[in-house]
Amino acid sequence: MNKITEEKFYDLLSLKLSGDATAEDLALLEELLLQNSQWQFLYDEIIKVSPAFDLNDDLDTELAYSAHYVKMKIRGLFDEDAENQLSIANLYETNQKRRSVYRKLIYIGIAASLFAIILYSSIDKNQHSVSKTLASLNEIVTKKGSKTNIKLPDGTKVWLNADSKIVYAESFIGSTREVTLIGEAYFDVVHDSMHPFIIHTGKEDIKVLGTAFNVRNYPSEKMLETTLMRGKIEVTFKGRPDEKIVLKPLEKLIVSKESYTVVNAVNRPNSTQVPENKITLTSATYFTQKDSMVVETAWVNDKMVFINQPLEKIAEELERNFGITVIFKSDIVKGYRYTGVFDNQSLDKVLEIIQLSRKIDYRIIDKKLVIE
Amino acid sequence: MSLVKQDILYLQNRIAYVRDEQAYRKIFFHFHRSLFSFANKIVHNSEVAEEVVSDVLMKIWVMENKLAQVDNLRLYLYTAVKNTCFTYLSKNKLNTIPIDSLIEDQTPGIDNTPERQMIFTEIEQEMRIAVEKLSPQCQLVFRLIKEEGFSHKDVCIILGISQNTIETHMRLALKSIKKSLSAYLFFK
Repeated sequence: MNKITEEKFYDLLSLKLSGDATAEDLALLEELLLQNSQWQFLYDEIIKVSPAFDLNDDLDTELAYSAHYVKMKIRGLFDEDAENQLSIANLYETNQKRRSVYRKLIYIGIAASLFAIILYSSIDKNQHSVSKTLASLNEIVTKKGSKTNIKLPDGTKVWLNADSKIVYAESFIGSTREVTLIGEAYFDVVHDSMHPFIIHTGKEDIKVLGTAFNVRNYPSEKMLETTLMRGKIEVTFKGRPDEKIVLKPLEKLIVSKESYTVVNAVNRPNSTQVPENKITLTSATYFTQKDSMVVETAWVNDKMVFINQPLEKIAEELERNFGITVIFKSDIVKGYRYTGVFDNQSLDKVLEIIQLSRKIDYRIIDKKLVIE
Repeated sequence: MSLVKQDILYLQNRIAYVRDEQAYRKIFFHFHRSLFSFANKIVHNSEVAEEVVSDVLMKIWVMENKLAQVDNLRLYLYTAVKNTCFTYLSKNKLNTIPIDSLIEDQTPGIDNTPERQMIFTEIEQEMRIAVEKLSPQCQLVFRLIKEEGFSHKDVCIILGISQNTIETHMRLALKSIKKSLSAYLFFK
């Protein structure tokens, strides 16, 4: 008799928890509790509203949406015309917020020396050159002013930014899938745990355990940057196989291509300086909460993003993006700083917008931009 | 961010017909965390769970106006997540759920600020431990009813099991919890 009553008690309790209990059920439940006070404790504890999420589910939805958003954008699921353009006023505000995004800075001194890289140039916007340099190797090259995207033999998608090159075998045979990258690319790697995907960038090898990330390896820049959007990647350094760094989503690894010093790991939150002789693990630059956009991969969606960048640096981006040469007539102007987001704008528009925040004198002659 | 059923339906329409990205974002924020938690309990792999939830939520957008016809979005999402998880499990021929508690670095966007840490009382801990000892399906049933507040009927739909099975599982779960709490009875 007791067992049946106990089961009835559980059934009623279950109905109450799921919201299915009728008035009669509830009345009966009350009665059973009165008759069996030993169940009251269980009842009291179970009825309490407990946190729905486990301690182990540390999850920042904001960051998750950011990664998700990029994924959808890349698949062309969001109509760009419908988006609101950010006003310059908003952007200055986000400059402040950005500093608090750098939560984790770990300084590790490890070897990373520069590997000499040779650049080629290719054809224009809607074409790319695919040449077979060595037997069964494919090479895809973009020149300044053009981007492209390709699909590798395994289905992995690669968005290649301007002024970049990627080399890969015609068909991925053997136990690994390997590519070499000079410049910048965004990878969306097809899951295949049996065949690790490895990217060679000179002195650093990136082994892909997860899916989507950005690698920035321009020869003219001192730092090599890897930003993980989704999944997990493991970065190792040539000649030091025991030193591995695993990136988690929205973490960015910045490696100095120059020579190194070995230092103890130090935790320094809120610092935005990147020391030149070290390796920094930081987080992706989260542009605005509203747009859930990450700076490092903005280029994939034809956006150029600058946060407090000197005109000199911006000029480099312009050169790359539009295939022009920028000439500065004065040094002072090189140091002018700007913050902006440009969504697929023409060079003229970009310069017009730059003018709004701080005036510069310029002329465009052919493919040359001359800044006074 | 809490939305009631009417809000969700409204947002569904905005997404389906107007293709409103802000509405989509709201839906994402509303469901993501609990869906992730749910998926994680099934596949025990946060990377896969993240992937599953992302794919399911992407479908919401891709289905365009068909989304407006979904009566109960929450139910639909949970069912979709459950199905996708089971597809993954069968594809990877995992009959037993792997223990990946050894690998800590898997969750996206770890944020250990005090606001996010939840402090459990000792009793709550005991209860959690008791629940975790239950069979996977039993745990799922219990969590869906207790934590997600789904009705018995909803759980039938999501997991594809009968009312009787749910009843059996709930009895087992509650009994197990009662047992784990019995130690505290003496102190009450």
